[in-house]
Amino acid sequence: MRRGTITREDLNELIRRWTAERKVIAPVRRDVVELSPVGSADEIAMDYSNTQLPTKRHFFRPSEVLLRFDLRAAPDRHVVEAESDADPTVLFGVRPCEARSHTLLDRVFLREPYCDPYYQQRRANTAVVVLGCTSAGPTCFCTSVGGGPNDHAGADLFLTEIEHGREAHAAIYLLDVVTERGASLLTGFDLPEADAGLIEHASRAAAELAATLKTIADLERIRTAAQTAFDDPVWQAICLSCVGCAACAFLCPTCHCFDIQDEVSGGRGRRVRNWDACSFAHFTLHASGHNPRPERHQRCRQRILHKFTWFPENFGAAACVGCGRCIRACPMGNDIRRWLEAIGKKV
Amino acid sequence: MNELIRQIRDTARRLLEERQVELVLGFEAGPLPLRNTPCFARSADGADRLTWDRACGLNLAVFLDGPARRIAILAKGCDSRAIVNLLKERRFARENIVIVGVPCEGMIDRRKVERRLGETDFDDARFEGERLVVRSGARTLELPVAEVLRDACRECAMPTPVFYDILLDGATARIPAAGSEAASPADRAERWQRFEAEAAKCIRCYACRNVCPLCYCRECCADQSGPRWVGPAPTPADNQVFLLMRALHLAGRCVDCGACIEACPVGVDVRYLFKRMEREVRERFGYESGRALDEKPPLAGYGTDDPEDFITDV
Repeated sequence: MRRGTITREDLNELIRRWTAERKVIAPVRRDVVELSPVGSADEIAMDYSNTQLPTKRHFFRPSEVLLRFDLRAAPDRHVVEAESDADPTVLFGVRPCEARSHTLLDRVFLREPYCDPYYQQRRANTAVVVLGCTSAGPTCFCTSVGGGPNDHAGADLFLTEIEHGREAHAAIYLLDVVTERGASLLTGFDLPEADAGLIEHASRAAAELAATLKTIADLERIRTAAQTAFDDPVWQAICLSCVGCAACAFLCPTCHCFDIQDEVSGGRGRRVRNWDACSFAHFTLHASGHNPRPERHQRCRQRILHKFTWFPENFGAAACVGCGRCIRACPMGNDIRRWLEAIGKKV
Repeated sequence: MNELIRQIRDTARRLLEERQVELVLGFEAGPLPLRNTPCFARSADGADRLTWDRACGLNLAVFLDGPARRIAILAKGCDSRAIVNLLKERRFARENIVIVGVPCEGMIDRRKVERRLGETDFDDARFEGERLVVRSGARTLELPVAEVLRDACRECAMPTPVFYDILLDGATARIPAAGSEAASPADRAERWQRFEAEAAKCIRCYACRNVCPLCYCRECCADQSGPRWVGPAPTPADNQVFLLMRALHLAGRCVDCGACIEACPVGVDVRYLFKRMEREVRERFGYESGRALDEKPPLAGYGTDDPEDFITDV
C-alpha cells in the first residue's frame, strides 16, 4: 500500500478533476450533514460526525424497477428487463464504518450464483474514498463489531487528517492508496511519499481513539443466542417500547431485506423491489393470513439474531458496523448496545 | 432531584403499592441526551427510575392498550387530550387507567438543536435555567430554551392537563399561548413546493404513524397489499399520498402533541397540514380535539345543520 501526504488544496484539485468526468457524492452540511452529489469541493463537509443516512441507498436503492411488462406489446417485448443506472461515481469522504458496510453487503449481493446485477454494476462503477475518524460520536461502537476509526475495509483511498490547519484549505491528510481502483483515481497526480514519522503518528492517534470506544457485549457469546436463549423472556423485556417502525432498519447501513411487488394496471406494469424491514408486523405475513412472527418480541429477536447469529453463520461476520444510527434514530430511545448487553447475560 | 421528579416517583410508588395499578407509564433516562425513553414501572425499583425534564416529548398514550390491565400514565396537556380521544373511541375502559397529570413547561425539539449544531450527534445536553447547553465534541452551544422548543409547545393553549385523576403541582406550566396557527404560505404554488420538499425527505419507515397514539388501525391502509392503496416505495407521489392520508385520518383527532415530528429520523415536518385540518374542524363544527370527554366528535355524528360550504366548485 502506497502512503502519501496531500494538502486540502491538492485534494480539492483532485475532486475538481473527478467532478469533471464522473459523479461525486460527498457529505454536505445542510440542516445536518447529508450525502449529496456535489459540483465542487467547497460544498464538502470534512469535519462532521456522521451523515444522517448511510451510503447503502447508493448501491441498494430504496426502490428498484427490475423489469417492465406489457401484454399488449409484441410477444418478444412482453417482458423487458430494467437496466441498472450505474454512472461512474466517487463516494467521497465517507466514514470507515460506511466502507465496511459495503463489504458486508457484498457478501449478500455479490455471492455466486445469485449475484445482483444492479448492486454489482454500481459497486463496480463506484470508487470509495474514506475519511478516517479523528473523533467518535456518542453512539459509535465500531470497535465492538470488528471495525475502527482506521479500518481500511472497503476503501479504495483512505484519508486521515494529520493537520487540521487554521483555515480549511490548510489541512493536510495522509492518503493511503488501498486498491488499484484507488490508484486509478490518482492517475496523473504526483503523490508525495509520507514520511514514517507521520504514518506512525496517525496510527497512534487512531489507536488512541479506538481505545476510548467502549466495548459492548461479547459477540461470540451473542452468536449462540439462537440456540441458548431463543425462548428466553429477555426478548419481551428489551422490546417493551419498540413500536415496530423501520427507522432502525432503514437507517442501518447493512440491513438489506426487501419485498418484490408487481405494479399492474391494464395488462402492463412493472416489477419493483422495495426496502422492507423485519420490524414491520406484515413483514412475514403470508397470503393465507398466517403470520409466523405475530408478536413484537419475535420481530425484535429476528432483527438481533439475523445480525448477530445468522449473518455470522452464513457470511462470516456480524451484520453491524457500529455506526450507531439505529440508536439515534429510534424514536423511543431503544439502544442496541443495551439490548446486546441484556441478551449477553442470558446466553 | 427536583420537586416534580420526587412527586412523580412518590405517586408511582404509592399507586403500585396500593395496587391501584399494575404498571406506571413514565419516562426514564435514555441512551442519548434529550432522548428520554419510556419507563414501564411495575415495582418500587421501577418507580425510582422515573424522571422528568423537557425531553419527555413522546406521547405515552401509545402504550395504553397493551402491556397491563390497570395502568397509570404520566400525561402532559396534549397527552391528556389524546387519552380523552382514545376514551371516546372506546380503546380502553376509563376505570382501568389512572391519569397522572404533569403541568408541561414545553418540550425541546431535538431537530432544532441538531440544526443549530449542523450535526445529528451531540455528546451532552443540560438545562441551566432557561438555557440549554449542548456539547458536541469540542464545541459548546448555549441556546435559549424558547428558541429550541417545539412549535407545538410554543403555540400550546392547554399545557396543563385538562383531564386527570391526579394533578402534580411540582412544575409550572407554560403560559398558555393563544393557539396561533402553524403558518403555511398563502400562495398555492409555494404551498405545494413546501409540501413537495417535506414529502421528498420521507423514507417511509412509519415512525410517525407508529408513535402516534391515535394512529391505531389494526391494518393501516399504507400497509394493505390487496388492494394496494399506497405504494410502499418512497416515491414522491406515494410519500405525498401517505402524508396527506395521515393528516386526513387525524382530522378532528390530532392533539398536536408533536410526537410524530420528534420521531421522524429524517426531519419531515408537516405539522402545518395537521393544524390546517384542526382549524377546519374547529371553525366548521366548533369542536376542539380532546377538550372534553362529553363532546361528540363531529365525524361520529350527523346534523341537519352541519355546514356544507366545503362543497364548492373549484
